Amino acid sequence: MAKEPRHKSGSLLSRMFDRTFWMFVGMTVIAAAGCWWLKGYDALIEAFHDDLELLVYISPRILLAMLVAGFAQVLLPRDKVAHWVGEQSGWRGLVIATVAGALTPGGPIASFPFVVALYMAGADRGALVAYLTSWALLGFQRVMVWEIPLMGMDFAVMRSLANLPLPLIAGYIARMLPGLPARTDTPEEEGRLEEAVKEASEEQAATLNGEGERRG
Amino acid sequence: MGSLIFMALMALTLMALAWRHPKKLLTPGLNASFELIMQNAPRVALALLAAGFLGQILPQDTISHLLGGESGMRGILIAWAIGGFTPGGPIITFPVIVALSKAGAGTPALVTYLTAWSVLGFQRVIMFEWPMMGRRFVINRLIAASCLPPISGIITLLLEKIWN
Repeated sequence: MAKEPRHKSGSLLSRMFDRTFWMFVGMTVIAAAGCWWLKGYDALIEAFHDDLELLVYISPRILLAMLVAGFAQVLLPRDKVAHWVGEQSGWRGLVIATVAGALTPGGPIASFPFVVALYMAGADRGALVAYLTSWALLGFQRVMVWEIPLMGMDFAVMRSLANLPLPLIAGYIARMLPGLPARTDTPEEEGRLEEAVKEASEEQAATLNGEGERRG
Repeated sequence: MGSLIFMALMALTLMALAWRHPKKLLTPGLNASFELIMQNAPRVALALLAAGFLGQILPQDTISHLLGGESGMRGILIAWAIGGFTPGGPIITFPVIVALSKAGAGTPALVTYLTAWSVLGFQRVIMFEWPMMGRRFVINRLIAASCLPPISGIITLLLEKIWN
């Protein structure tokens, strides 16, 4: 499915500096002000210094992660994604997502690109929530590296058993919750939603099938 | 360094797949990646700063101190309430769990705490999930995940009863 990348509305700059971006600016300013007010100037500078170090560490990884997400997005076959982890995938979709989450190694930078790509390719909200929950709770890497050495085998086994059903529960609840398909905070994302809706009705209404519809 | 090499290999593999793809997906892939970078990089950078400042306001030991040596149902409830406000990754959190365990916190409370930190931890939400997935997805997931920590704690309580 060689499709053009989604959400092509407005100029690149307006998509970069959209409402969500300014929300993050506001949050950062408020957090910095709170840090200064509650903990003093030194704490603010210390946090800023740590953040810059983290930024240097994370920047190349984020760039690679976005490459992974972008290419995964165009490579993932939409019909297969919808079939296996789409809205109609039922419990099977949640189980697949749970197994995939538990097998995904690495931290958030390695796992989020796939979540973004699967989201763009039509995976269901419930399946993505099951995947993220499973990756956070059942990921084998954390158990091996941290849990068994520090807390012992008994604790690791008991915690894993207690966490086993949770991704399915979370995925099921997320699917049941009302609301639009997510990722519609900003205009370009609404454009994407529009396309998704369009695609869903392709079979019934050939007139909606055009490529030229764009949102201003 | 390991993670950087891993990510680079993953990206190169996908690029090669796109290049060899019969539909010539290299250019569409680069376009999609460029879109994602332009949209997400500024947000993630800001989110990272915000998460760092919030972590400074709410340090780990202030939070974990609240759990102290609690156990049983009380421990589960406290752990549920504070787990999501715990900053930091596993490097910081696991030593804290060890310390809490030595201070007498029960296993069900510790499992609840780890579950809450894993699925509700505010720093990960702010740094990655919100910028990349959007607010609605985050709200949806947080609602769905908010009931999980006590479930894991109660299952652990039952497991302990069977175990012993």
